[in-house]
Amino acid sequence: MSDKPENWMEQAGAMFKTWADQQQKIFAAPLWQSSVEQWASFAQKAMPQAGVTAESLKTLFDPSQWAQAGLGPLDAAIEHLVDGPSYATLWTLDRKILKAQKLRGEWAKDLAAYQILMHGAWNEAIKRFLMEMNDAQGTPITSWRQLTDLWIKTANETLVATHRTPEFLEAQRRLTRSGVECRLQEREIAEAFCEMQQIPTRTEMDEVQREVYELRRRLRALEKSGSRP
Amino acid sequence: MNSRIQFDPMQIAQQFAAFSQRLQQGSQLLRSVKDRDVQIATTPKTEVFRQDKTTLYRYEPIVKQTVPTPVLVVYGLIGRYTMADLQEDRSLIRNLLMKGVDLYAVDWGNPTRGDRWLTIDDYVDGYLDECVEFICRKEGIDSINVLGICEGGVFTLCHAALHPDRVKNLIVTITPVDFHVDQAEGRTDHGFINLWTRSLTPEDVDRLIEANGNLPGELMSFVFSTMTPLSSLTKYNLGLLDVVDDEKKLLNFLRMEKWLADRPHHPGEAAKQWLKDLYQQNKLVKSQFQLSGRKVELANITMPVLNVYAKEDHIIPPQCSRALADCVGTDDYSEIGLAGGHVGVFVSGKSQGILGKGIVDWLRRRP
Repeated sequence: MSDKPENWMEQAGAMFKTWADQQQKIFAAPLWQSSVEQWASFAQKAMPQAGVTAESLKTLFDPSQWAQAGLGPLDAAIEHLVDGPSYATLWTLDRKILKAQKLRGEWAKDLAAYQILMHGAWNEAIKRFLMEMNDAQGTPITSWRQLTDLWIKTANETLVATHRTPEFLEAQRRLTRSGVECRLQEREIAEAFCEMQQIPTRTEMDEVQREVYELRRRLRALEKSGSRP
Repeated sequence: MNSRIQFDPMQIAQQFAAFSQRLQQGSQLLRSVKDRDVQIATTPKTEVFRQDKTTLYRYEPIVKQTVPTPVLVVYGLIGRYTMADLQEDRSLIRNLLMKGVDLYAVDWGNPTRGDRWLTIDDYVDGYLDECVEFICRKEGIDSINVLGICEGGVFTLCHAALHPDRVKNLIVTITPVDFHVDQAEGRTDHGFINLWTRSLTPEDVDRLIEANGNLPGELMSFVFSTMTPLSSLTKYNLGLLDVVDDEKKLLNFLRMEKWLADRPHHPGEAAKQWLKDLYQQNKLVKSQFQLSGRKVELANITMPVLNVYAKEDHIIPPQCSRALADCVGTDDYSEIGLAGGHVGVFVSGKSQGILGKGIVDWLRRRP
């Protein structure tokens, strides 16, 4: 008589017993233990790498953080998704949209930096205006227009001086650039939708217009060579 | 602490009453003015040649011709040529016509995104050269007088350097030549455009053009407005209030507004050359600027040259223009330094007559 179980219940029970015995051996093995430790370590590291920690999530509900540029704790997560390697068939449009989100965050930060500089300039203008107004050596101000003119002159000089500082020029440059990058990324998204619907994209139009330009240029050159001695 | 404010309540009441009256009169006048009342560039002219978006106009003569060779006025791509003919009593065009000049002007039209690929090569060696060719053929002459304004002045310098046989006399006005001497006078209100342009990286310029297809007119308007920030902010309240009860002054104000609003986009590739090759790398004065595969050598400018600059020009500081003296290859080089700013030289009441007379007197001595 065979020692094989006779019915399927016994067969299934035998299979699970064998599997459980093997599992016990596997779980007890040092190799398994080290893998488990690696996973635990990976899990601990992964969340902060993505910028999402318990502490950072709390800031999402802190009103004092709401006025700040960018998405705060989610910035790093978006950056990780956008800057990571791309895949042939996965998330192409999603990555474009996420990148636009990331660029908008950068633009908001650049705008905030620019505004801080401008706030400083206006504060300085007010300070200088008050000093001018209270300068006992100055000509008396007897009309609202004289007062307004003094404010305009003082504020104008202060702002012009600010506009020429390397800090302002760099802040303006960064704001211009990040605005441009946002716009270009938005165009990429728009073009992705256009391509789905077989609508000509801006890039395709640029190519066509370049060809028209080249043809016109050649035509003008031909006309010129034909009409002049 | 003593304040300088010494308001007399009676005087303040009087000022307020006068202000209120002015506001009332002004609002009535402003309501009665229609856009059709605000006309610029009204001097009669006829289209004589057209290529793509470029149009060549010939102005109707007003008096008998006293300058034998025609003059072609060439404006740039930042702003429009209509600045030279803002209104009847503030018009370089009319002043030149009144003195017997046979006058032409080139209008580059309104470039759109489709014109993105046009380069300065196309404007100088193409359209401008075709306009000169047309006038020479029509008049049966080998060369003409050319008058460039601002960026148009750079175009005419390049054209004269590449085709010296086609230019009899060259007049450049408020024209940058050395783009890096903007701070030479140490004036804190001069040369902001130069500073702004140099603060950009070449890649910034490329990406800006890639995004817009051109250098947007609105962006240039914004940059210009940051040069005089408070004037820009108070233009439509205080500035307008100053003129609102005087019809003549109000119309002058509105005509200038009309010209300012008509700021075309600068074709993209040409803008890259303008900003990177000239403003950033200063190639013109170094004889490194290339058009149509040829180096632009200002030393090839051997015809008489008149260089008109504005002493208070905050956009093209005088030293940037006056650098031309050391670059041209002619001994017949003259300068006229006029009081006033970049646009004021053409449209201010004070400069009327002086600029036109200076140019015509100079031309008459070089028939």
